[in-house]
Amino acid sequence: MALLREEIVHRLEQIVGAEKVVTDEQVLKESSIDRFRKFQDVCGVYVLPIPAAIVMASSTQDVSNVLKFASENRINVVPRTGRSGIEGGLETAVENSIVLDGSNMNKVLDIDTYNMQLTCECGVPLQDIDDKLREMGYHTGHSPQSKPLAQMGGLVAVRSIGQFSTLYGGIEDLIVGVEAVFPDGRIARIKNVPRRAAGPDIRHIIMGSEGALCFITEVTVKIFKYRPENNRFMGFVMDTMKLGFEILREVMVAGYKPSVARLYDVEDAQYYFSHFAKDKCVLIFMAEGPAAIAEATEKGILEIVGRYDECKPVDPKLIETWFLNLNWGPEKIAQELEEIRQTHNIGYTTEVSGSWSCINDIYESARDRVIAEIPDITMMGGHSSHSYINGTNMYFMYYYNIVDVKPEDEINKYHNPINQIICEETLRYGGSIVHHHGLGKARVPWVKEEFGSSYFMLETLKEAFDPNGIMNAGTLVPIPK
Amino acid sequence: MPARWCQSQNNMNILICFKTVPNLDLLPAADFVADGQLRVDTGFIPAAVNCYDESALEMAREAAQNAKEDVALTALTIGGEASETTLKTLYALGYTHGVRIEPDDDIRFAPERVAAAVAAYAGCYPQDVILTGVQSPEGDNGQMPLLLAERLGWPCVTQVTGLRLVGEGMLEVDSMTDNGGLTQKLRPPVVLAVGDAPSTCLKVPTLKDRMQRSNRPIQVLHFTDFVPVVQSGACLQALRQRQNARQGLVIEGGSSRDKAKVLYETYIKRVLEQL
Repeated sequence: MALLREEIVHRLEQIVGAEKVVTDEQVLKESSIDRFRKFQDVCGVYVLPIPAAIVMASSTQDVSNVLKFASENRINVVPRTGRSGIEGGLETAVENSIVLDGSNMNKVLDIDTYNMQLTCECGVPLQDIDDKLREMGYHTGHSPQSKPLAQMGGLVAVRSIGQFSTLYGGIEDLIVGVEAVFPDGRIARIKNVPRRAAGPDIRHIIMGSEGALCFITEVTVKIFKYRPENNRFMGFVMDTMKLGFEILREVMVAGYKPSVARLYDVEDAQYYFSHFAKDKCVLIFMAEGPAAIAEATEKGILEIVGRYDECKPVDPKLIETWFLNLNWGPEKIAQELEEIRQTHNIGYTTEVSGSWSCINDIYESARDRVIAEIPDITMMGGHSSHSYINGTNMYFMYYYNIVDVKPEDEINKYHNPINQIICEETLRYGGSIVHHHGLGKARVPWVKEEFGSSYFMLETLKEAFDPNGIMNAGTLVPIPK
Repeated sequence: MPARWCQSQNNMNILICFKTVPNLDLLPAADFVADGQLRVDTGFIPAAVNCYDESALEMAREAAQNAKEDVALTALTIGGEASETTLKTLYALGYTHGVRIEPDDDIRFAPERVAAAVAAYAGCYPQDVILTGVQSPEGDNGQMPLLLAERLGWPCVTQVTGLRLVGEGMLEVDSMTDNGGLTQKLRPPVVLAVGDAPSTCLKVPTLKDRMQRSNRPIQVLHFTDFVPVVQSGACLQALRQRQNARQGLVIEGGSSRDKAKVLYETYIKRVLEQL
C-alpha cells in the first residue's frame, strides 16, 4: 500500500534529517516542472502532481538511503542538480514524488593537473569550476549555453554538449570516471583510466540516463590547457543554408578541428547578427589551442571558404563580441520570463541531428511545415552548432504568440505539435530526434521510432536497473499503461 | 520641405518617436574605449530600440487598439537604413505610417536638433499627440521631449506610465511625479515623455502579419531638406564609463540555516534596529 504524503515526509526527515527536507508549498509547485513549461511558471499555474518533498542531499550516502527507501516503497524519484532542464525531464509526473536534489553536493574533490583530470561532486556548477580552472590556466573544454546554471551531474545525465564540441567533443568524450547510485541504494564507481577494453563501456549506461536509471553523485572529467590568446574568430555571410552546410561539411571532411563551427539561418541570424547580416545566413568558426594549430586551422578554413565567391567574410571582431554574450545565466532567464509575461510571446528550441546528405532536407521540411501548420508563429529558424565528419545538428528556434488559450493548454496547442513536426521530419529523413538536450518527457512519444529495433535494449536497461520503476517516471521511457 | 499632409480623416493622429541605439549591455568592458573623437565604437554590437521609446510605441499601440475612435499611428525615427527593420515590424503591428529621417550628421548628443526635426515634421503633418521616450542611453540628457514641447508651444507630461483614449478627443494619462502617481484627463495637443512604464515590451507580430503588412513603403525624408538650422547648446568634453558594479560578499557556512543566521546577525538585525 502506497505511503501517504505525510508519511513520506516523516520518513525522509528520519532518513536524512529534517533540515534537508523541503516542503514549502510554493517551492514544491515550482519543482513539479522545468523550463519546458515556462509559460505555466510565468502564469503561476501548476497542473502536474506536486511532489511530496524535495530532499537536499549532502552526500552519496544520503542519496543511497533515499533511493533505497523510495525503491522499497515504490515512490517515484526525480533526480536534479542545476535545474536547467528544458525538455520536461524534471517534471514530477507521478503523485507524491520525491525530488532528489544534488545541488548541495558541490565540492571539488581533486584538480589533477598532471593527469589532466578533475573530480567533483554532482552539484558543482560548471561555471564555477571552469572559472576556477581558467585562473589556473586550464579549462574543461565544455561550454553549453546553460553553463551559468548547469551542474556537473545533470550535464552528464543528459549527454550535454558545449559550444567548443567540434574540438573537444561532447560530455561523453570528456568524462573519465563516474560514481552513481542505483535504485536499490547500491553505489557504483567507475574508475578513472585513459581507456579500457574490458567489455562494454559501462559509463554509457549512466551518461544520458536522465535520472531514469540512477543518480549521478560524482564525476571526473578531462581538463585542457587554456590559451585564449591564440583564439581566432572567423565569420561569413551567405544566402542559403544549403551552401553553408556544404562548406561546413568540407571543413570537417578536410580534417580541420575548429572549436566552434556554427551556421545560422536568416531568421535566427536576425536575432543575433542584425547589425551586419541583414537577410543573410551566417557561418562562424573559432580556432583555438596551441598557436601553431590555431593558426593552421584558421588558414585551412579560410582557404576552403575562400573558394566560394557567394560566401563573404565579415570582421572577426563581430564574431568575437557576439561570442562573449552567448551564455544564458539567471539574469537572462529572468528577463525572458518578464518579456513572456508582457508580450505572451514565447520561444523554444528543438535540437536534432542528421548526416550531411539529409540535414538540409530536415531543416527545410520541418521549417516549412511549422510555418504552414502552426498558428501564431512569429519566428521559425535555427542553426547548426555541432559538426562531425559525417553530419551535423540542427537547433530549431521558434517563437509564437500565445492566443486564446489557457496557460496549461499552451503546450498542447503549440509546443507539442511543433515538436511533433520536427520529430516526424527528422525520423523521415533518418536523423536523430535528440542531439543534446535529452529526451526528457517531451520527446518520449517518439522514443520507439528513434531507437527502432534497438529499443528493447533501452527497455531492458530500465527493467534491470530500476525494476520497481521508481526513477523519474515518464522520462526516457514511457510510463507503462 | 515635404508636401503638407492633407487633413487626416482620423479622429486622432499620434506620432511616436523612437531611436535605435546600440545594445550597450552587449559591449565588453574592454571595448569601452573612446577614440580620438571621443566616440566609443559600437559597430560590433547589435542595436535595439531605446527601452523608453519601446514603451511609448507599445503604449500608443495598445491605446489605439482599445480606442473607440479612429486613430492613425505614425512612427518616426531619425537614423540610417537599419532603422527600417523596426519600422517594418511596426507596420506588421498595425502602425499606419512609418517615417525615417536620414540625418546629415551625428546628432546623438544634439537634442535641440532632434526636437527641431520632430517639430518640423509635426508642422508638415499635423499631430494631436506626440510620444517620446523620456531619455535614451546615448546622451542620457532627457531634454528632447521638453525642447520639442517648447518649440511646438504644447504642454508636456513627463514620466508617463499609461495612456488611454477616452473619447471625444480626450486622453487619460498616468504619470509619476515627485509626490507619487498622477492621472490626468487632457485635451490634445500634448507631448508625452514616457518613463518607467509597467509594460515595456513591444508585442511581436506573427510571420503572417509580417508578410501581409511589412512591405508597405516607408517615408524617407532628409534632415537638411526640412529641418531648420539649430545651434547646439552643449559640447561634448569627455567620456567615461559609469561604474555600476556592486560589492558582493559570499557567506560561508554549512547549511542554509547557518548562512541565514550570519546574514541576520551581521546585516539585517542592525538595519532593523535602526528603524
